[in-house]
Amino acid sequence: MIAGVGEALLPVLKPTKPASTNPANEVAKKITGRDYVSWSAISTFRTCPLKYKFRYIDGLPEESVSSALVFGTGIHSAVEQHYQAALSGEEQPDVDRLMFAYRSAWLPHDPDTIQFGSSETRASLDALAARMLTAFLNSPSASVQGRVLGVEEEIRGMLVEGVPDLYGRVDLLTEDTDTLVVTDIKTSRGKWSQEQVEDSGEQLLLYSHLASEISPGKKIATRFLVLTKTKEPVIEEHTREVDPVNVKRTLVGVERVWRAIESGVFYPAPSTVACAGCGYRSACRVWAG
Amino acid sequence: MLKLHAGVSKKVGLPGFSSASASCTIEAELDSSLLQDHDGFQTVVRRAYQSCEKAVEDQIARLLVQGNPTPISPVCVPDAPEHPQTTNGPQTRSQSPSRAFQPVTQEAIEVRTSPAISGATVTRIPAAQSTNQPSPRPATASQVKAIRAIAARRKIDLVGLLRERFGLTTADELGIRQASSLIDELKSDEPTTAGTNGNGAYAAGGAR
Repeated sequence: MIAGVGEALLPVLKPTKPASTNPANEVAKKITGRDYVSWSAISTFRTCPLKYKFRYIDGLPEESVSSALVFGTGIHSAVEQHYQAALSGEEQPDVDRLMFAYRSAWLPHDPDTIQFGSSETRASLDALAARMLTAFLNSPSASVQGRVLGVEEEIRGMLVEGVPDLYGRVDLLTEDTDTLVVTDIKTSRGKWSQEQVEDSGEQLLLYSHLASEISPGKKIATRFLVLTKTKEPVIEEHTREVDPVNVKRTLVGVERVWRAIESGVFYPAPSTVACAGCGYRSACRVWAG
Repeated sequence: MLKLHAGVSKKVGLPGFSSASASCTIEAELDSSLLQDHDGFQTVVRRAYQSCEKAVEDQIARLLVQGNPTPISPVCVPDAPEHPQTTNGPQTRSQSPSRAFQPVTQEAIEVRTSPAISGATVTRIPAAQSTNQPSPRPATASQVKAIRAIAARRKIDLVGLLRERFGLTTADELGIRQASSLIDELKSDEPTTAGTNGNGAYAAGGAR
């Protein structure tokens, strides 16, 4: 019995992050309150610098959230549960279990703040999710090629001098005998064109750059696992080897975005597509510089 | 019988890409009547962790005094998710697949230090060497989760296994390669799970 030991209450030790060696992280912390930058933040700035300011610097809550965002998060959670179960050697989760994971993504949101499309309802999206997840389980993509190393894995590291660490989550990290594969799971209105694959690759290029230390000497490939939100969902994969030239170009882009953020260059970028579902419409309208 | 495993590990970053770490594990048999006494049980568990924390702090302090370095960043990881572990007497034990997985039955309180500081002296890695040979990447969170899930499913004494095989206290301390091998090994001598192939990956066509 150990009931007699440690009578005095001791301070509880909590995990702390390793010390940063990147001076730019301190700058980032002063600007945004976070000692890193995420791809989501970079991407938001590129879509609309003012939206970036509202979200990451001012910390304004969004008036609404797009149903597509919540839906995509739910599908992500479900597919990730499938791969985590595979890694753990558990019985394959059936559609009902994956739907449970999918539904959990809706819980944190006030239903009144979710902005649905004109022909969408929560019930129609749930039915679509069930079809998509069934298609996924019946597809070759449900079977892991090689070995799973990580699911929804956090990665972080310095990419460019003078830019804070990039922090992100890799949806799926797998390897076979000669290649490390960094997978991003996407939901899409339709099948992807080659141009979409190329245009969407920057995030994965950066993640693959950070992940390269995991399997030194191995080739690195990026892979999109796309689940279409069509009447009859299709599961497609787009795998590419990492081209160092593309990595360099992407890094330069990240560096320029960060310089703009550091300099306080924020302005609205009106767009009929992006503004329609933006949660900062009211704040944007009253912004005067 | 009620068994408690409690562990705490702490790592302190030191200049020159070196580090010092210490861990403490308590393994104890508890009176099974504690199961009926929720508050009493929580108190015992809390005290076990507090004892570990105190021992680890003392050991780290001793090491820092001896090596005279200034720590950069402490990383302390309470070993909570694997514990407390309740077993069901000899019947459970007999299900363990190998000696390595046998639960420890006697009370033991130990303070262990990692190989990097064995002999209670801080080993400092020359900066140039550490730059060229970075520390192996730690196990991913999902690997750690998988190891714990498999161990729980198979009623494996994970603390004992990690200690015997790797000289570690918690799965978080494993490297990514170690974790990968351990997962393969734990899954390989498990009866094949329905719907999975040899790698633990599922065959396609499994929507049910």
